[in-house]
Amino acid sequence: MAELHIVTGKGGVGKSTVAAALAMRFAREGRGPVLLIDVQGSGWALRLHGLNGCPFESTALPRLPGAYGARILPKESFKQYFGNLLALGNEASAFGAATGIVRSRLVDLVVENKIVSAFIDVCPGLEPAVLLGKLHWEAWRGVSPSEDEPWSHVIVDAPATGHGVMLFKSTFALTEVFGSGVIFKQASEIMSFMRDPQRTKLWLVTLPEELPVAEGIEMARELTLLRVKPYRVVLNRCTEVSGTGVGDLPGVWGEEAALEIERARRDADFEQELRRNIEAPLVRVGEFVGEATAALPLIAQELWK
Amino acid sequence: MKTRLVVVLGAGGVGKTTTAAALAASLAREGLRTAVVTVDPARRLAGVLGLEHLTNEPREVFRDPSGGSMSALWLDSRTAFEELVRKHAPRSAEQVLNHRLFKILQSQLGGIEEYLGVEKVLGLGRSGDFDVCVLDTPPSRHALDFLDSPQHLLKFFDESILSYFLNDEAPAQKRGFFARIVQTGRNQALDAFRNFLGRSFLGELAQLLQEFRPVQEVFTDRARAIEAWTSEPSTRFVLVATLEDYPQDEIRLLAGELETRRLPGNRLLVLNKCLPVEEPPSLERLTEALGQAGGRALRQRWENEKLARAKLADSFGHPVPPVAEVRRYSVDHLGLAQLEAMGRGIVSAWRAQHSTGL
Repeated sequence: MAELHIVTGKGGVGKSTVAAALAMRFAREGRGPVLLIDVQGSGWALRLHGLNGCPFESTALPRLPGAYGARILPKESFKQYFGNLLALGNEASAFGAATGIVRSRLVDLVVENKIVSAFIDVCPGLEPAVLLGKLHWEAWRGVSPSEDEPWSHVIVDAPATGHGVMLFKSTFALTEVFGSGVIFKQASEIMSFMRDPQRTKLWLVTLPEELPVAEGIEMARELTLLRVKPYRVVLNRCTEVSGTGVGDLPGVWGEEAALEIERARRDADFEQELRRNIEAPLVRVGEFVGEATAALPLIAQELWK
Repeated sequence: MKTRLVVVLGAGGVGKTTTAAALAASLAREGLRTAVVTVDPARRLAGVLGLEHLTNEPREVFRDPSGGSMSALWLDSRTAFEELVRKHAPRSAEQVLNHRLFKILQSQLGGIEEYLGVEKVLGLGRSGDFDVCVLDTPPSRHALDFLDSPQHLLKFFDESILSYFLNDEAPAQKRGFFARIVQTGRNQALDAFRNFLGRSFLGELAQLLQEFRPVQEVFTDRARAIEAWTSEPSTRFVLVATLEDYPQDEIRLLAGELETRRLPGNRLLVLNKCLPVEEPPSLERLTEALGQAGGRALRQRWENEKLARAKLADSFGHPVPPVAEVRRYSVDHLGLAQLEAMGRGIVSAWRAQHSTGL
């Protein structure tokens, strides 16, 4: 069974970069194949490892040996999930003996159906439950496509803004209310997986700025209510400024230096605020300017400092 | 519509809301009546705009002797959704609001936040009280979610979808052996689908949708109206980014999406939180002031920004849309005067490059 690492945070805090750095770290440890999943994002985490386009099937990451990437979308995940269910539930019927091809044809019939397809798009709670189901499945039984070896780590670049928590929240809510559907029955199993700190590690990424810090604290609070504990708080892009005097820098650059010093002071304040309000170890990651790909190994290193 | 729509787009954290407010403020000083609709301003900015509390009605920030004025609205999507239900489905409002699926719907229904922003901005546009409406879009999963949001909600409330799952048998088809097999298979698959979700869930959902019926017309109307408004040539799409990798990537995607939709309104770029263009002092002097790591980081950032600027033409083709650069500013010192100055700078930079900037 793989360790599941879920990286959450507001949009623009560097979530994808942290997820990509984690994948690099685990792939280099060599404990087994690693899967990096982008959930409905723009595919940035995958692009950092040279994978363009948006493959749904796990695809080898061109610049990271031993690692694979996939971008999961609700409809595709649904198809897979639903197909599995159909395979399990219909043994007695004439189609029980049907080959995989006929079965997948049936799934297509249902999923491609205009009405079903619209329903999948909009049905409350269905999307998060299916996405969470897919993540759980990959961590639980997923294998790499070429070696057929179980994943050692599954790293998830979770959706931005509220959606990250929403993934858990609405799945929980529905589980509590509806027990009769297969999907919601399974969801409670999935939740206990997500709540087990040995199996699931939740990284909460934020920036030393007002809104991201406030949202990070709020997110941690909501997760705690759901009994999911953050594993690490990552305070990303902290300044490395150590000087205190602007000296005799000319005009605009004097202003910039003063801004840097102001930033350093604010960084420290925000760090304190996060430590006070979230019960999880905090990791500071410095600001790496330059091409994002070049920064990955440095970020990976800082995450374990 | 007589009112001009300005849509502000970009990745999270690049200063979209600040840019939106700055534009509204500076245009108001030129004699226009402006309104900005935002979902989630930083505390400091909210304070500057006089929005200490969430309001679902616009509040006047200032009035200018020129006849212009600036208003701002900080949308509380939770209460706005409830208001919408109460207003358009007064008879069943209580049933809807107390329904146990509603709470989930309210927080999770895809596109609801975007939709409510659209709803508000349309209301302001139609009121005729404003010359310019600036919509600050929430960071979305998909670039132009806000445009599709009414359509998306309409799909949800289409009851034929649900009746499809609640009916036990699909109409039987009798033609041919193969057709029958397909039909049987389809029924089986549908059965599996119903089991998958559970009968009680589908039943409750059906009940909720029933109550929602009157609101449906509202969505239909808004879907049409926002499509028409965004398709007007007077509409402006402001793409906001910093000179960092990720935000640049994001506006590239956005520009592509706008292209695909063939929206005629002009595109305008804002590059936010930039370092000065002029060469920084030597590394030794930067190090003296900021320490070794700090000095090096600042220098490195300047070099990256230079590269990113050079790449803009590749991303947007020729001619590059009008670009305005905004220097970094101190959040602690943000006030209305700074906001206006920022907006003035952006608008005049655009106008210098393109006669119909804004």
